[in-house]
Amino acid sequence: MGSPERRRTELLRGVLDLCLLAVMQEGPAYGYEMTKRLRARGLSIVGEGSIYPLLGRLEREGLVETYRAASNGGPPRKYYRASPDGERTLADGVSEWRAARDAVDAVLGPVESEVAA
Amino acid sequence: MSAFVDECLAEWRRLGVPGPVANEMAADLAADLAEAEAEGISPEEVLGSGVFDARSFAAAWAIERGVIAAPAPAQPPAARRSERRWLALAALCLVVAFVGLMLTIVGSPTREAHVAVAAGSNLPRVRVVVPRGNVRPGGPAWVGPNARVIFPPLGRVQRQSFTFDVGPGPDLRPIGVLLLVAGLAGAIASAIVWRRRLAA
Repeated sequence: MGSPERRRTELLRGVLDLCLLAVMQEGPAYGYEMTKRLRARGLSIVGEGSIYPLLGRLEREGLVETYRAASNGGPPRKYYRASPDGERTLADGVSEWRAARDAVDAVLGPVESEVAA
Repeated sequence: MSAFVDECLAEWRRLGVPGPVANEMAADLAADLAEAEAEGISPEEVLGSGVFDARSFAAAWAIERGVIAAPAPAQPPAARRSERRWLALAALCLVVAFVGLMLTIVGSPTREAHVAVAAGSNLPRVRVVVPRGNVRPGGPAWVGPNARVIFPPLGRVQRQSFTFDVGPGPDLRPIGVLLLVAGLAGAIASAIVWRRRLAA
C-alpha cells in the first residue's frame, strides 16, 4: 500500500461489482455503456482493473443475465442486467458498504478534522 | 486497438477458450473500443490497467467468466522444499530397507556350495567353490570344523550340495532385519506426511 492510486485500487476492488450492479439499475447496458455510466457518476476506472473480468464473474455467479441486441447504429452488443440474485447481492452489499464506511468514518473523521485545522 | 483485440483473441485460443466464446468476447471488446475511440475516450478509460498487458487481461477475463480453469495457486518455495524433503526422506528410507533386506539374505555366515569329492583317498579333501563370501571365488578352501558335509559314496567324483561355515565372520542378519523394519516404517511414515502436505 504505497501510492494513492494503489490505495484507491484496493478500496475499489471490493465494491466495484456493487457499482456495476448499481448502474445496471438504470437499465440493461453493455460493457462500454457501463463504463460511461460509472464515469458520469464520477467514478473513472483509469488505473484500475477492467470491468470486463468483473462482468464475467458476475455472469458466472448468476448475478447478471445477458442477452444480445443491436446497439444504436452499431453491431449487436451483449447487454447485462441484474438477476434477482444480483438484486439481493446489491442490497446486501450496499448495507455492508454503508456499515463499513460509517465505521471507518468514525475512525478517520477526527483525523481529517485535525489535519484540516 | 485492433492489435490489442487480436492479441486477446490469440491468448484465448492459446488458453483453450472455445472458439464461439472467444469470438464473442473479441467482438464485444472491439465494438466497445471502437465506440470509445469515436467518442475520444482513451482505451485506458475503458480497459483500466488491463490495456498495458493484453495477455493478462484476456486470461483474467476468461478465468472470471469461467470458460477456462483458474491456474492452481503457486505454492510458496518453503512449502515446496518441505514436500521435497519428505519425499527424499521416504526414498532414503527405502534404500535403507533395501540394504537391510540384502543383509538379511546374504548376511549369514552359512553358505551353500558345491563340492567335488576325490575318490580313493582315506581322508577326503574337498575343493569348495564358494559363490560369495570371504573366500576367493573359484579358489580352493578347506572346510572348517563347523562344516557339515554329506559325502557321497566314494569311488567316483561327484558334485554334492552342502552347507558349511566359511569362517568367523559376523552374523549380519539381525542388523539386516532391524534396517529392513526401520527403513520400511520410515518410508511409510514419510510417504504419509508427504501426501498430507501435498493435499494441504
